[in-house]
Amino acid sequence: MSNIHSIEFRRSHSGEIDSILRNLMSLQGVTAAAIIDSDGLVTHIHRDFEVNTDALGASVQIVFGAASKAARHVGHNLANMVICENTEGYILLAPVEAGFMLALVTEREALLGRVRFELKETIPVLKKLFVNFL
Amino acid sequence: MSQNTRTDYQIAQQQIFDSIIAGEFGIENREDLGPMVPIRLFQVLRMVAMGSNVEDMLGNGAPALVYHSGQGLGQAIGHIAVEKANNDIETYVGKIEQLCRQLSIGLVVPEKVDLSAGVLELRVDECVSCAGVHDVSAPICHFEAGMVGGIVKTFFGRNVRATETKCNAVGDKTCLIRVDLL
Repeated sequence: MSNIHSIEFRRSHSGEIDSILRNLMSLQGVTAAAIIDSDGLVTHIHRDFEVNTDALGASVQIVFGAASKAARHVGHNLANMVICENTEGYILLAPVEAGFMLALVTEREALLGRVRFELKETIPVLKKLFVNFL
Repeated sequence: MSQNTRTDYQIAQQQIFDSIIAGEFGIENREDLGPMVPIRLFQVLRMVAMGSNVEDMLGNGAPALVYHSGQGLGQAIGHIAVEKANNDIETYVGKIEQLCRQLSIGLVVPEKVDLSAGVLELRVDECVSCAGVHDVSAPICHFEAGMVGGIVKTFFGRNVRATETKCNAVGDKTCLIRVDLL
């Protein structure tokens, strides 16, 4: 079953994924970087603050799922990224592979364009790691 | 609304959980009809309202919402059982079996408990969600997987990954939920 592969997969690639998340955390204003699986479980996370990972993981999948549906309703095909602009910062979400998502949380002062660029650059790297999971 | 104000759903949730904790199975304002409902009505709520209808809005986000909902119930049930279990896993599972039978969620049977490997497998026979459902392509009891995950998480105080590896609706005759302690 794929779920057993996912556990083994996560263990074998944890170092590489942690390194990628650490790099993203080094960007100005980024306060959390996380990988979330299709059930909404946070499989990897680096963060500067306490967060309810169960609630965060479920919210990420729900928000991205709703955005993807909205994109299809207006004929925009696939959603590639969701950006939530909040009073205190931004949340950026992007699909990786096999239902896994990358989520970044930033402060308001973060350079959104830079973070968005790095996110887009990171996704293909993560995809290569996750593609074996399919 | 202030952040401390509970929503109406949260108020209803508290009343329902309190009633379960107290072991009250009689329900006020149901004098004639009583506390039981047809399983198909539950399945409409689970597979239609919380299933296909939610999927229409959330797409691939639907299983995460359903799993998260089940985890909330599992944690509520777990809190009831953990107080009476004296940190003993066998007693705890026994209480869970009893509660799940009382609530007609299903017949919970431990298949494998390997704490050194951090893996537990719990079978749910006569699963309330998928009984009488056939020919689906993949396990669909995300609610029960989340519930079992919440139950295990409450006992061990650790994050878990719960996955349904067998499902009656796929043709497996039972539902099997594997829980990995993380």
